[in-house]
Amino acid sequence: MATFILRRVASLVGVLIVLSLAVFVIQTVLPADPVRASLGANASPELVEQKREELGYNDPLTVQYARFVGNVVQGDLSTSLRTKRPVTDDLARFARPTFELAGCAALLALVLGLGLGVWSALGGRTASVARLVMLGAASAPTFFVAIVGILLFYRRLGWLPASGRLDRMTIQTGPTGLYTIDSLLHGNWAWFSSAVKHLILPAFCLAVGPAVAIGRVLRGALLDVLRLDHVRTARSKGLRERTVVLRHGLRNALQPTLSMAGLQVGLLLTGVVVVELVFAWPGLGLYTTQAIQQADFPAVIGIVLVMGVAYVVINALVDIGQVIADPRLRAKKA
Amino acid sequence: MTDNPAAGADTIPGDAVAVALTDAAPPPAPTGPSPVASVRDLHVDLHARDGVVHALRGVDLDIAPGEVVALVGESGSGKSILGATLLGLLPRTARPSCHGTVVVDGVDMLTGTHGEQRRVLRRSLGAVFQDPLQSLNPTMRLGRQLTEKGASPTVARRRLQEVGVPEAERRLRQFPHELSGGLRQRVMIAMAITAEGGDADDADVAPQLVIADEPTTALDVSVQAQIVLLFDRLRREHGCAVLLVTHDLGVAASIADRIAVLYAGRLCEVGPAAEVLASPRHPYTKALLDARLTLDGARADADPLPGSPPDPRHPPQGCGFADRCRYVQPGCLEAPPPLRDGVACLFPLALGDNTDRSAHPAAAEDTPVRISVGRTLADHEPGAADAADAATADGSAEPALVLERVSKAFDLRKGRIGSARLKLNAVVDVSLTVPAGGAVALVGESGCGKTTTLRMATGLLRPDSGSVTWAAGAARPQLVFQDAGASLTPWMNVLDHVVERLRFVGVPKGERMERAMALLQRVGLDGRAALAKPRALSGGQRQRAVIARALASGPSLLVCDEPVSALDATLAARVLGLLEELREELGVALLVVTHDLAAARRLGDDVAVMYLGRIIEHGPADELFERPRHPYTQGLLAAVPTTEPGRLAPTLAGEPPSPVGEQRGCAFVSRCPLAVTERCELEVPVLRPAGPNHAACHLLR
Amino acid sequence: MASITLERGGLLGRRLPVAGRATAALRRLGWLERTAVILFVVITVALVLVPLVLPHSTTRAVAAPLQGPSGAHLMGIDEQGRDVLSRVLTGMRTSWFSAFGVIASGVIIGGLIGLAAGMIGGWVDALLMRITDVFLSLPGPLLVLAVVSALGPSLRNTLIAVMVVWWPFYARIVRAEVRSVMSRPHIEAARMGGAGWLTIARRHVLPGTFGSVLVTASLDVSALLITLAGLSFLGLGSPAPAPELGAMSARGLTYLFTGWWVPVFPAIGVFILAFIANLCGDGVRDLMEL
Repeated sequence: MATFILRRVASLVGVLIVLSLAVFVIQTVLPADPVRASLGANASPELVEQKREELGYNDPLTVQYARFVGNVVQGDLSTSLRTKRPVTDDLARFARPTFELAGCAALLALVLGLGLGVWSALGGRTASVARLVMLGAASAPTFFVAIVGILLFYRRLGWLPASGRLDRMTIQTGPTGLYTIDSLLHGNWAWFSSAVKHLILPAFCLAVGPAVAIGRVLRGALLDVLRLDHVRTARSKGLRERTVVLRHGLRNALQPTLSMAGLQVGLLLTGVVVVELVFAWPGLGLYTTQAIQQADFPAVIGIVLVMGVAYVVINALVDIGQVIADPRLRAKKA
Repeated sequence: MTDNPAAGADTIPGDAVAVALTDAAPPPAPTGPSPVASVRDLHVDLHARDGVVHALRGVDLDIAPGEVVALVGESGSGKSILGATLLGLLPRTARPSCHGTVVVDGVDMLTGTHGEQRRVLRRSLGAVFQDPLQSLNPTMRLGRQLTEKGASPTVARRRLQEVGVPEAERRLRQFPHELSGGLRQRVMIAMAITAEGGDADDADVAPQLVIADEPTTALDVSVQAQIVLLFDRLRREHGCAVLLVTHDLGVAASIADRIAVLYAGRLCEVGPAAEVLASPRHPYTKALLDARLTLDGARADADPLPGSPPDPRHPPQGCGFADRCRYVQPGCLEAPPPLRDGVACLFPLALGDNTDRSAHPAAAEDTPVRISVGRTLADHEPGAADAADAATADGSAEPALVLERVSKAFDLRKGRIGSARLKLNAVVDVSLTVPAGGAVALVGESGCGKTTTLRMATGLLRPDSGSVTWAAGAARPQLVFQDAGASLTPWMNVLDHVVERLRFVGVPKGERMERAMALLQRVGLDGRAALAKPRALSGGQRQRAVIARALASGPSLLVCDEPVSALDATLAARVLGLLEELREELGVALLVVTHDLAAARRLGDDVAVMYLGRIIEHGPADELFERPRHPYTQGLLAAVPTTEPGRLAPTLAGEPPSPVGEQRGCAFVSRCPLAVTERCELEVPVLRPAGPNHAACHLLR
Repeated sequence: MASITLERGGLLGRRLPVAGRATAALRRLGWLERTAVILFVVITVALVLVPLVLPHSTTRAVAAPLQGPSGAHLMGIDEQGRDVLSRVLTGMRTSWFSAFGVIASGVIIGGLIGLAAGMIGGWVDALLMRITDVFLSLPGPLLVLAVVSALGPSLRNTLIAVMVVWWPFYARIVRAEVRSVMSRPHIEAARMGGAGWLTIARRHVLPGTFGSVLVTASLDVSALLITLAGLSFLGLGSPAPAPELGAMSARGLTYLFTGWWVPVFPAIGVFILAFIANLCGDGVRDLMEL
């Protein structure tokens, strides 16, 4: 097993190198000229050339790449053209709200996905309802869910707020930057309930896509597993159907579902950009949209790098977790 | 012929038919104390995509406490469905509809509540299925699986010891994939004989009835015999009844008290094992017995049972067996005959008569057409085959295959960090000659290297050392695959396969179609089968298609990998007959690789026995089967079940050791029943003459 | 010499005409899937014909801005006085065929790479699959975002970027299918009979991959429709006046409470296409599994 983890980490490093290369290539070779952009359209050619030399854009590509990686490793993602602050600082500030939103959405997606999967696999007569629900949800783009959610729960019913993280209120700056947790730490219930209310709609919209993907895979896997011989053996022991499904079916069906869940992190990361835009959630997504709109290239590169690393690392962790959970895989890969 | 039952019955045919009509469901004969399971007039319909399958059509069966009942039938007879019904485990996707009663321990498994059924399953029933690996949960420790029914860990450990699992304590913490096939099946059996019992921690309760569905089919011959005997011992120790569902009359004969024969969803004969085996009264039982390949060298009836079972979606109105029965009378077609005195036949064979082994039914097929094919035997002259025959006879012809000291090892764990290179020595120093037109059988258990040998013989694998020589001038040897279905391209029809092969050997375009059809007809496939995709064919038809395709290349040698292991007895007999005919007619030599000793005896002039990568004995078939010299060969022969009740007495314990790593001494040491010497432990024995045989054993004089 | 002779017509006649086989296959599906498959065909044809039947211009104002749905303008009028229905229909056409284009490129690129990796095996397989794995483990949509924002937003750039990240799925699937077909004894049988590698690839391997590629591709249409709509929503599509569903919805978001039809109908357009594609994908999968 140690061998497997070592190899998985090695391949993780490989992927990270390729990711950095890809980002570097996009940044260097593509036509957008960051120097000209930073100096403005009216800068004289001499000034541009001087600046290029100064910033090292005339060095050989290998040197530039080495410098790029060196900077990234030291946490230097250069300066945002739009906010004029170091990208690292911006990211650190906007990452917390996004982490709160994406984390809640991921949990919600897992819960919803498992529920939908089990329901549609075992629901008997109501299973086709579950299938239709999943089919519908799988066909709805995130912004459609968000628009419908806002129209229904904010406009019509008035139950939930539709933008921002909080109502107008004074709050202390908390240790984590995650309002749901900070408010609890400070024992401020008004703060907490406001944070939760603001979180529900965006988290749900963000969770729908991954939840359906998880549900579909789980449904397929469960139906496959429940056809297997060892489930028949379990039934022949006179176990309750619930025990058979949960203990002998679900556990073995979770493997492919978990891999799928890992891949869904990618979907979550793009979804978060859309959701934050619609709900004016002050996180990385909104920062990304603004960066794209104003061609703030260093910021885009920084975001892609950070989110990319998160995605790659999460998938590696899912792989390793799976091997630890499944004795057969353990035997095969150790 | 004195036994024509129809003649005997002619005097009272009206009575017999009248009985059939009025007495549709007679109570079975009482079997002593109240039965543990009682099936009455059971009908089971299953819904398939292309219609309703009438799997069981009125079955009555009682199982007395402590009794072993063998339920015998071919595939599709409904035998597994009966087992599943007793367990209340019919496949739900097939939306089964049943009527009749299936009472186990006072609860009707068809109409009882789920709670009642589960109680019966926990307390009174145990189940063993065919494939032990698939039947155990791969992600759960064995200890947890063994105690799920309600047995305590103490009892679980005791059960493991009882079924002969060594180091029971350690096994409880292991996962199924860590055990060998034989051990897994033992664990399954241990699990089957646990039951929910009293409150005491070590309350030792066993179920009243164990249902074993083909429990030995997936296992090696020597392990198979051990498992069969294990059932026998357990029922004595725990007094539980066993319903043994099997296609093999031999397995049934080994331990069954009673045998029930199922055909097309109805019981056709039930009776004490000895009686049923010695003097079957239903024509189907008799045909089944006649079709069985035996070790005694008597050539079984080539086609004791022409035709095929009726389509379960449209079962016949009368006796299901009528259209294949040689004694059929008009009355048979009107209504299904009831089970009377243990036989469901209006005109049962007389008791004690079993003399009619040689009688043939009217030939159903045309007389075989003699043809020749491929590059070497390309011209349509019968003389070509005769010439080959002649060449074989005088022994001067070049052998079809010579293996000269071939070895093959496989690297395991290649290039892993921190692990030494391990070698699996699949084949070591094997020499073998198949004479032109001759037939050699290569016998061994799984993992003995016979498949690797076969792949080297056909050129699919290069040996590490040694040489493989084929007859010059002929096409390369062709393989008849074990899994015939998988060796056919799924999206091509049978004809396309043969035509493509003819194209490869350069048959002109205009002739291919005609040649292919002739070839297919020769192996017994009609135009309909020729245009069918492999999936639509039966097992026997697939095997024939593969044989036809192999012959299209015009090889001098056919290498058959387990040619009949996937087929029912009656189909197997037909395929073996076909191979014999082809050898005779076309002069094509056969190398048959099989674990089935009876098939080896039937087809092989010479037989070689492999164990752990080496040939440990070879010789003429008759000599080897009648006077085996090597203790392994002796043990293997003793492990083959015959229809002689209670004869089974295996001498081989355990399972073959792992072929991984360097081998020192005789590979058979760990299982040898003889007094093993120091020399056996240290020196690898070589083949030495032993009478007309050659055997590799230090202890032979 | 006795032999069975088959009529020439009999041999040729064994293949049902394509239309006949299609109806036979359709009959095996549930009514929902059957409707979806029919809708799939109908909508493809209808979207091809959209420019011919378009009621109004897609870029010019035809009425006073922000009018709700009415008999004359079924989906209302947007903030610039344009007919929403015309714009939505044109947008649906673009989305539908963009999705097909990306999938076709994925199937071709991925299929060739997968076939090569699966059939050749050895180091070629290892190399190609490593590359594929790296592509798969990179967060595709994020890279698209980076590439498009660097190249400058346009539908063409977006499609190229999506194509670059989309093929690895197909390479993986085709390679897995090829490996599993290659491990079947029928390949050894063909080889033993003397078939060359081209014959093996064409007759004995490739047809075995069609099923799962078709299933994946048909289930993929909706994923792609949604991804493309999402990118367009973020402004990574054609610039302003072009009628693209995602972009229309995004720009109309401002009028969500004053003219809900402006952002909602384009979103519904995506939903309808994705729903039909999804149902169809399910139907195709059920057919293949039978």
